[in-house]
Amino acid sequence: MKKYFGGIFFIAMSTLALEIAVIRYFSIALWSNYGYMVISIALFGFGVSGTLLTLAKNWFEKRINLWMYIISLSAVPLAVLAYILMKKVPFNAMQIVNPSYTFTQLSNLALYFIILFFPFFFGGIYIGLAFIAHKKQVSKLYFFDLIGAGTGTLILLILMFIIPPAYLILPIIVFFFSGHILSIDYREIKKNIYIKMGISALVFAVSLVTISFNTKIEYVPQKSIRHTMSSINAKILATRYSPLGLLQIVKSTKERSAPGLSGMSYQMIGKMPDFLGVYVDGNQSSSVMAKLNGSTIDAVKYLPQVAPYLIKDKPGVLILGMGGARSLSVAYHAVRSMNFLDCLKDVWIKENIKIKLKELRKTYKHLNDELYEKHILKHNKTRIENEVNNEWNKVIKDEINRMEKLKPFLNKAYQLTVRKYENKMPSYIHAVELSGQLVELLKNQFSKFNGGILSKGGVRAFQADVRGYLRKSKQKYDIIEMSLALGGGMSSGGNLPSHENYLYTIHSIRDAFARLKKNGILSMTVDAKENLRDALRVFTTSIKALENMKNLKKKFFMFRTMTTATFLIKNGDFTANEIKKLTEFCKNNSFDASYYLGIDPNGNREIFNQEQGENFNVAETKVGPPGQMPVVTEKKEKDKNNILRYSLYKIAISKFVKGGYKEFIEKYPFKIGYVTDNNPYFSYRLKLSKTLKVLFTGKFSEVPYEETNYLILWLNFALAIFFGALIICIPLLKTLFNKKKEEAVSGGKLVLIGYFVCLGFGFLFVEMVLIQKLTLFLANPIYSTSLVLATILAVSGIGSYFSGKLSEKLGSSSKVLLLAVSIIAVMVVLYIFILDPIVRSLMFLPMAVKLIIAMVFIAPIAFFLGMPFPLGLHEVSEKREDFLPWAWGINGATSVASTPLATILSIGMGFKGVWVISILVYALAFFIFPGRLTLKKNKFILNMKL
Amino acid sequence: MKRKLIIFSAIFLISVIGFSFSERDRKRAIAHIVRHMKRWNIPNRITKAFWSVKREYFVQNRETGRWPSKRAAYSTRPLAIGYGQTISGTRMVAWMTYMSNPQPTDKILEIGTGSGFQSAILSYFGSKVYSIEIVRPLGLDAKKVHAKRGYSSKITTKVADGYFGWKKYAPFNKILVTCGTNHIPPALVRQLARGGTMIIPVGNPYGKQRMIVLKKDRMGRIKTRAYFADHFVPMTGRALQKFRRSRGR
Repeated sequence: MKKYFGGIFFIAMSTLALEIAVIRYFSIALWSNYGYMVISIALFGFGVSGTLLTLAKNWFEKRINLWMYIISLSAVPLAVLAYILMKKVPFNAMQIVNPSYTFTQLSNLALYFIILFFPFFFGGIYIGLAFIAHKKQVSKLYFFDLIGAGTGTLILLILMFIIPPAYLILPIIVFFFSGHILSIDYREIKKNIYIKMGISALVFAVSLVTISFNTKIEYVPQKSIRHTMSSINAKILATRYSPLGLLQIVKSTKERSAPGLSGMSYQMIGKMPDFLGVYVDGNQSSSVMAKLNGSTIDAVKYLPQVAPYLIKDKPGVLILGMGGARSLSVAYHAVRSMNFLDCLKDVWIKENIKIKLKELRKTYKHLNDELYEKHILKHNKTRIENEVNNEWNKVIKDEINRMEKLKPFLNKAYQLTVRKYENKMPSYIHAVELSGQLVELLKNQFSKFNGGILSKGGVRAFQADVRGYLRKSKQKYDIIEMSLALGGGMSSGGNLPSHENYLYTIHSIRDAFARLKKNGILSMTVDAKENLRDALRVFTTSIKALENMKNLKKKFFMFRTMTTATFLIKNGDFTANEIKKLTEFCKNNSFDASYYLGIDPNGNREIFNQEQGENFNVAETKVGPPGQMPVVTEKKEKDKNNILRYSLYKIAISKFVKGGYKEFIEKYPFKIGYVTDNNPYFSYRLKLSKTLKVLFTGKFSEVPYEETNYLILWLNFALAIFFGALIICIPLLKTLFNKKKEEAVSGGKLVLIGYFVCLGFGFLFVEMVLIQKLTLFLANPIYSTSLVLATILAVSGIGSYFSGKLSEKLGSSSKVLLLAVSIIAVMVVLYIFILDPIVRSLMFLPMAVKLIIAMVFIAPIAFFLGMPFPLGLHEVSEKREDFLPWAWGINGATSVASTPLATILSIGMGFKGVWVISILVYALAFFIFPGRLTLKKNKFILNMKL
Repeated sequence: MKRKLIIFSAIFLISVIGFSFSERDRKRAIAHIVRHMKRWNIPNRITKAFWSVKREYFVQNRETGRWPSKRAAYSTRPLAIGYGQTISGTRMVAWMTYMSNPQPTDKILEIGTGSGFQSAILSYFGSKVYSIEIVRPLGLDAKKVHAKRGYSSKITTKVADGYFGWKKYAPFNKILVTCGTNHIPPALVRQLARGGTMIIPVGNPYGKQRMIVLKKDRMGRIKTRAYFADHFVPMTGRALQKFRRSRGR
């Protein structure tokens, strides 16, 4: 009989590679938080295949070679079809909250499950059949299966550097076909080998041609890249790809990015600089500011990010999350920009006086120099100076037409500013950026555009992840800038990337604070266009991070613009002079100084940017249906329902100053509490009670758009439960068609169900939390997902192989289970206590070393995680063989459902909470282990003795 | 044969009656829109304009050349007019008009002519309207529609990038921006007269945007007030089809 070692290797490899490729595709075309859905779907496919094989084993066994041929060949067009069809699903996450589209969009979400199910299902069937075909060589087959899975993940990670993400499917199709070629039994089917080879070649050729014409990435309508590219003359100037993401630099009229720009910027001399957009996985992440010159330098001083440079001379600056180096440009040019107008005035007056004096000299050219100076110049100089000064005032006031008069002097003024303020420039600027490709692009291809900002004296760009750099660096800084580091991603959690965010956590803020010099300033500008909750969450997190410091209230200065909020936190106390400078800056720019020591939050002062306001009573019950019209007259304080609306900032600050902030946070209808490394879900703000209420009442429109991410996670969970239930239903088919309904033995069913439910949840909880936790360590979800999946698959497989041998040695599978569960519990407890400190202290290491360390972390627990399932199966096959398909089904179903559930629980109780649950679940599994079932009068009874 | 002819004629007549849109229907549709506006406190002064300016003249999809039904034209929802642009829903037009409070003496700048409906509404109040559209075919078409329907004496349009405003006719008493940016263009504020008002949606153009009303006081200082944030969902082809089906097309 044909040995399917090669086939199993390639099929396992292609299935895993497909899983990772689809996760990548979802990250680009949808959002990365949908990646977990793909894991769920893959598990669903494997689950169904396992159950089906257990049920229809004999049926398949009869013509196994033919089935292997058909299934391995079908996998090729199925993968192609799934990949093409998944792009056609018109999923629009935004419409979930629109009652007329909720059902349609929910069906679209379910369509992903159905479409992507087939390739994984066929992959699962193939692997299962190979085991059936060679029962005696299971261990060897298993080895090839695992090695294939690991290789698939690794190869795809490597391919991500070489092949554009849209084309990643092509090699996967080749892998699938290689698996098929190696699955053909050339000896047994000699008769029609040529026909079969012909069919295979044809199917492969058609599949390859079809997929080649369908590689285009179909972005969902809300992806910023799609919107940007729809504008006239939009052009992608550079593209780079790696596992970190698809990086695109885009030129478009929509790239005018100046978040928080003051309304007073209309007074700027010159114009706004040009911008290029930096897009990562189709999301606008930051922008590249064009080289600043005389006609654009003045724009910088109207940005909120310049505030810390007002009170720090010659600062050493650290920019966290450099992106397209916009913040870096601001840091570099802040001093020049703030003094440019003075220099322009000097140049203009000087030049105009020169011109006037020349004219005067011309008028009196008949006089010699001595007479001219004595009688003419002496009397006219002051007059001319006054005249020119008055003229300057007139010119500067004529906002619309002044540029014509000022234009000839701009460059001279700029050069004067550069010369004059050379000694006030930042002494050094360090910028940290995770993407080496972006740093390289900015240094080379776009260096002309950005004026070579990265090559300026004192400027250094480090390719590292922010948290790792903060841990590694010994340098201290006067200003640390963490502004808009996540672009729009942070503020618009709704449907934008909303996976774990380790930048705005209390641990991150503490790490950043530790790098500040005495009296240094940590500056954070947060996007607050669409909702104000982000800003409050950063505020709460900062307060919590620094709660042990003395005089905390003296360390904060907060101001807000029309679209952003800026927090300045000083490693020392703000002085009265500094507060004066900052409040003046705010007043001049129409910004609102919301908090500083001594402010009366309820006092009467001029408000420049009035919020819409929130009503807390309404918000408790109805969190603002989208599209609801608020008050339309400005004079009224009350909205159309005659309910007073409150300024969110005003209330929060008032509570912070006068006490009761904690209670306010708790009472607020959304989660705006602090964020930790243990629960780094910044963008998930919908409270559990509200979510459940919406889910059960179906009033989706009560959820504001920016909070839909949590709701979608729950909907995903609901779908997973639905599909999980389908897996459980398959064994029912057997019961229906089974004619022999008498059972020799009964009882113990609940125990068996309980055991496999526990394993399904426990295993996935540990795995999912490891993926989420290692995202911090490996700085990217795709690295952590690939690594954890590959390692757990491979090592747990080895564990399951050894479980049988161990039980032979120890004499009882109960003992092996006790050993496995105890070690899992000990390891998880260790993770709870030591993983965080270890991860934080080793974050500075190079990526390759970190990958190896992560593997070492995972391997031991993965080994033991692989044991309980085969031990249980073994017991079931001995005691209640009829239950075997159920065991597979239940395990599959719970695995599918536990993927989104792990994330939901992590958001609710943090990673540590989920780990504690996994220990409890495994402990329960130990107590209800099928090995404990003892037969008494044809009925199984659970023996609870230890 | 005769029987078939009668049946076909009957079907034809029923569909003609069913789908026809008389002046009475138009009035009914507008009355419905006005009722909606009343709920948002839009005063009579503004709603009157909607009786006068016929929305059905502006709803043609310039890219495909197709006209949606008159019934669809009077729905409260936005409609696709081609080139990825939409004619705003009536409530948005009404709200923006209300906030700008157009007066006969006003010079109003509109950024994003689109279909030309908003500028036509503004011109109803006797204001002089200057409108800029970046999409050439849309800009040119709107100009034609204005000329054909007799609005061109009050409305001047040009095809250009609205970010830089229209310096030639500045300053403006009111500025209405109908497309989202992440900041308020300084050139537009510069071209806003002292004491003037600007209405602009600020936010992610591909997501939710917050309506901002900006006032420039006599001293040249800027004050803003945030209003509602709304979904500006791009009307995809599919959504449009669904919408048409629901309107009986």
